[in-house]
Amino acid sequence: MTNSKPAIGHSPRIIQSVFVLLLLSLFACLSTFLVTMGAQIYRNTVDSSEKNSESRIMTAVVRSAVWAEDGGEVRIEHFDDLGITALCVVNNYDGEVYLKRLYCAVDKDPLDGEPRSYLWESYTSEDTEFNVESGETLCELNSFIPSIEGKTLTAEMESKDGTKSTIRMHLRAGGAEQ
Amino acid sequence: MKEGGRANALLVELLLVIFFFMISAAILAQVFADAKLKSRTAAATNSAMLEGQNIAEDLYGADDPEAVLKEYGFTSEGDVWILEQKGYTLKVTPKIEETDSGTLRTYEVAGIEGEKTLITLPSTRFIPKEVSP
Repeated sequence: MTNSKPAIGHSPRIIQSVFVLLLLSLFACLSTFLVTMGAQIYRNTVDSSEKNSESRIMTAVVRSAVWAEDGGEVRIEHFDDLGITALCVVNNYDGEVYLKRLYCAVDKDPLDGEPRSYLWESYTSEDTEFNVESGETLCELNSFIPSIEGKTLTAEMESKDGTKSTIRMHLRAGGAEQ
Repeated sequence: MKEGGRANALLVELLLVIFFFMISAAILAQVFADAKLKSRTAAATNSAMLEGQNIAEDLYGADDPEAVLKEYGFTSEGDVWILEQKGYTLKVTPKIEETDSGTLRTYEVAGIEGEKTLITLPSTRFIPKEVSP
């Protein structure tokens, strides 16, 4: 008789404690879920935005380089000893011939010194022998394969994260040479 | 009595915290959903722009633009050519103007997501008439 009284008196308090614990665990679960979901969405958004900007940059660089100098001749140059295929835009200023070349080559990262593949642009006189180091790096790129068929220039590019993009351009004023 | 009062206060406090947490969670969920939607739209715009530029260039240089559109997989719906892509639709509207000196050929390439126009790229070319000497 004396043992059963405290049990009846304690049961609502136990229920209340369990309820509080349940609420606490619900709160913990919901906050963890929200933080995880938020982090995942944030990561996806940043990744997607980086992928978009990379593909836009690499295609815009090639398009603007060709459009800017489309009055001249556009050709593809193969440097087999260096393993480089370059898109070459020929400019003629008062009889002086200058070549703008776009190509993909490896360079050391300025921050960690690791070798990375970049899209390069060089602008040299026709008399100057081609040298990878004569250009400047524009953006990270895994591969850049330009080709010309008739008056259509095609450039296949692969960004550092493996996204492939192909651009096609109809060469307007200048001639095209393979 | 005192212990019961303390437990009740804790309960009320917890309920209040959960209530405000729920409000914050609802707002955050809305923000996340908006961010995801915007990210998807940005990706579709980027993709539509890359594809649209290629199509506009091909149409500019083509002798038979309809063949180019068919090669891409466009289907003709009246005067308009439609191509369904992942997340967006490409629509090409041709406009041919015959003049005394030649033909002005304009193809408007548009990228559409739902009812929203993402991009519009015109591809215009004037083809002069052959003049006999």
